[in-house]
Amino acid sequence: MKLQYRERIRFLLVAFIIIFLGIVFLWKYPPVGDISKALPNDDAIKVLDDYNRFNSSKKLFILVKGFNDASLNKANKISKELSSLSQVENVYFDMDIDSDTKEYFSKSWYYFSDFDSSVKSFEQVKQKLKNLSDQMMSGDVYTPLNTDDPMGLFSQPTFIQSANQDGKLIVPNKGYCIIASIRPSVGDMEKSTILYNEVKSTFDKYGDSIIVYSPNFYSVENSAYISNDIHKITIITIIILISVYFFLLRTKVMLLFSMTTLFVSALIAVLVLRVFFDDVSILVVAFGASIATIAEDYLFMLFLNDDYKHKRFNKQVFWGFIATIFGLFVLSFISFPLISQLAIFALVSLSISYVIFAFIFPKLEFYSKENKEIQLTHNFNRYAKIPPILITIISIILILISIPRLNFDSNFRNLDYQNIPLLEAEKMFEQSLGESRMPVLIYGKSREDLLEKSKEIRKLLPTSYTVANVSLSGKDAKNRYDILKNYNFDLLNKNIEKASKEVGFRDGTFANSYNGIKNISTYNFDDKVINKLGFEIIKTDRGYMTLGYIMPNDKKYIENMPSVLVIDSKYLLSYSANKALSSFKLFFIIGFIGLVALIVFVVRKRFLYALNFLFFPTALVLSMFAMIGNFNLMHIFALFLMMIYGIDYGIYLANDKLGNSMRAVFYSCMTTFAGFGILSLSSVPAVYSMGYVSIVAILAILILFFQKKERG
Amino acid sequence: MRILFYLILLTVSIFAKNNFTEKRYFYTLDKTTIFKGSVDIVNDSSMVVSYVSPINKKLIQNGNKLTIEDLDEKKTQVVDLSKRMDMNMYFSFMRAINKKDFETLKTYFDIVKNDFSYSLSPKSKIKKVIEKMDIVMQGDNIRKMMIYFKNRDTIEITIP
Repeated sequence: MKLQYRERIRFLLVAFIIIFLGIVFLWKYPPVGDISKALPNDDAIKVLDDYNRFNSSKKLFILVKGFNDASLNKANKISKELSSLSQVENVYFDMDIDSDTKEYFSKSWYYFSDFDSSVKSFEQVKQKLKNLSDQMMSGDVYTPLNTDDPMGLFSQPTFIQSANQDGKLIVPNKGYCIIASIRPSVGDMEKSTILYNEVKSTFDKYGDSIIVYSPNFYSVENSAYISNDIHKITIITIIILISVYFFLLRTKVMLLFSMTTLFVSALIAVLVLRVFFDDVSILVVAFGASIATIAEDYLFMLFLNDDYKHKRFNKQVFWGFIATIFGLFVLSFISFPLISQLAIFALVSLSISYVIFAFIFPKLEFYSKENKEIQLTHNFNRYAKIPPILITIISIILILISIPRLNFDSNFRNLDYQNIPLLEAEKMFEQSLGESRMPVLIYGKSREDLLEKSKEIRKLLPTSYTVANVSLSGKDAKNRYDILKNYNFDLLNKNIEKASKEVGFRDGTFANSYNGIKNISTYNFDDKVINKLGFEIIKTDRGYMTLGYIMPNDKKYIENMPSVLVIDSKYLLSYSANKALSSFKLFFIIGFIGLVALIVFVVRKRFLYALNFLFFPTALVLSMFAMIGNFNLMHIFALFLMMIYGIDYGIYLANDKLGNSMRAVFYSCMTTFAGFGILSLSSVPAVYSMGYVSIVAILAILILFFQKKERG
Repeated sequence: MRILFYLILLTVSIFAKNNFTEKRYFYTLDKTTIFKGSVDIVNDSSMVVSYVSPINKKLIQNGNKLTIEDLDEKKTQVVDLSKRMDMNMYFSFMRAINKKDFETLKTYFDIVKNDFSYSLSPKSKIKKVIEKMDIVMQGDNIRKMMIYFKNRDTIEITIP
């Protein structure tokens, strides 16, 4: 067997073993579809993580449309079916509270109520009873006499009651509402998928008559959509790549080897990411095929310049590779998991591809005999008449015009797949059930401290709803107990008995008034009941935390309270995005200066020609951002990648005399389009944002083919 | 206790588009007050109860909104019914009685039908407050309704 074939078979064998092992590993530890996993791990995200630890965030909602008898029967049936699902813990539909909760409130009544502890004189008692009598006799509605507390010393505790009809939960004006507490957290993809499948198979029969929503469904459905996109994009990418090899390079054998190389390098890059990150975003896999195609540059350059045949070391390709690696290396330090994951992925996959293409492929002996005469770029140089300085000036003007018109879209959720049905369902349940209240995280050093802090909020904001509405701190409970024990109820009862006769009440009407207080027991904080009432107290590294709710207008009053944090996910995510943009700017400037220095060092004579491959695509892409009105982080990342790409081309073409490099770059542009341009077909904003940037950048690079090669 | 107020509304609602007289007897005072007024059931989701003596007030229910107007003092109070379980229960009764839907009423009462009357014994939460209710019929129409409370108060509503 020829040495060439032996090497090729050995290459394929090793590659397939790596591919097999890689696939097995990925099967076991799949990438995550939850875009929040790709967000920076800053204070804002930590707050959201804390919030997600509460069971109240683990919910499933079903709206049964309408209020007629059929709807009610359907809702009753659904609530039973829901109870039988494996990932559902409890189902809430009836408004009735259980016996434990009733007992808790009954025992704690005198603790929760506001108590008027002022001493009442006989005259005051008499006047109060007279008022009661008048109110009974002439009130607009029948008011039964409250003999337990005729003086009205205890006010009724305030609790938020869910909207209901006939004792059943409802979404006002829409229909009956069933709420289930579920087992999986939002980030638990495996169990969320089980829940999703069970829900779908059980409730699909009800069609449009019900709306089902759970925050867990985003990761399940969006992952499916993104996976679908990846399949679609990958197929088109492969078709274009095959076309390039078949119709332009006309080398079928090398296609197999180059595709295998790209696949192996992409797979190893994902595995390396696993070492650095607990969760690898599925978006990295989505971009993986695209990023891997960047390495095609190296192959085309080496192959078309006959470097394999002559066993030469190509310096342009080497410096192009170094420029790319430098840019990615700088970017990998950004504290934004999705971007740093993509940068590390690109760095590793391109490095492996470069090593294979530059050092292993020569042994596989792909010679230019497989490269038939193709005259695509023959004598192209005679059309290249635009002076580089003109391009540079145009680029600078475009950049200067665009910069003031750039608006950053800091809403991360705009990057995720816009799952309209779920987003609408979320909005409906949030507005109707949450009464537009905002959740707040309350932190305390101890449980007692936590309850005291909750009480402060309750005092400051009477419309707030916190654990202080349904419980008391030990200190307050003791205070109340002491106050009640010290109040002279015996004297009060004597006055009531005497005054009631004078007002006209029957003898003995108030004989049992305030009797409950005589046997009052000490207050007992009942964890189970408090939990049932929707309040959890969770232990943290720093103490304890709980979740409360405030009206949005009250946000300003608690912003300066260090132990209270408002959960405004839009604001928190924007904070993270803006922080990421700031650090991106820093890396961008460092990368830009580094790349300019590298070009000047490598290209020397025609550095302006080469620099335009950095300036012009950047200028056109920024103009695009200015025209569409805003840009996001993925736009910026794609621009950075395209800049790195452009540098490679600048270095290759600046010293190209025979036109082979131009051919290589042209083919590379086609594969770049196959890899990145195709992303614009995606329905995921994070993905198509990159596609649009790459199309504009490729267009800019094609225009740069018409640059005149003159000394810089 | 608010549930009782709505039971009173319930009692007047059954005399649709009619004047009524309501006698409230308070055991603890051993006194009786007589109220006069009218009720108008506009449609399935709307009704108006007007008291003319000894008070001058109007209770307007429309969907999930209840407006109480004090016509003498020109004061208005609005209540969101969707957040009030007791009120919702009342409207459930009202619908059931207007539709003569005894199946729904059976959720809250044990019902015994005699020749010219119904006897309703509460079996849900209202059992703590109400002893029993009697409805006297004249043909298909309700002639009189009595409510006996646990505290020995009574309310008697009659159509003149």
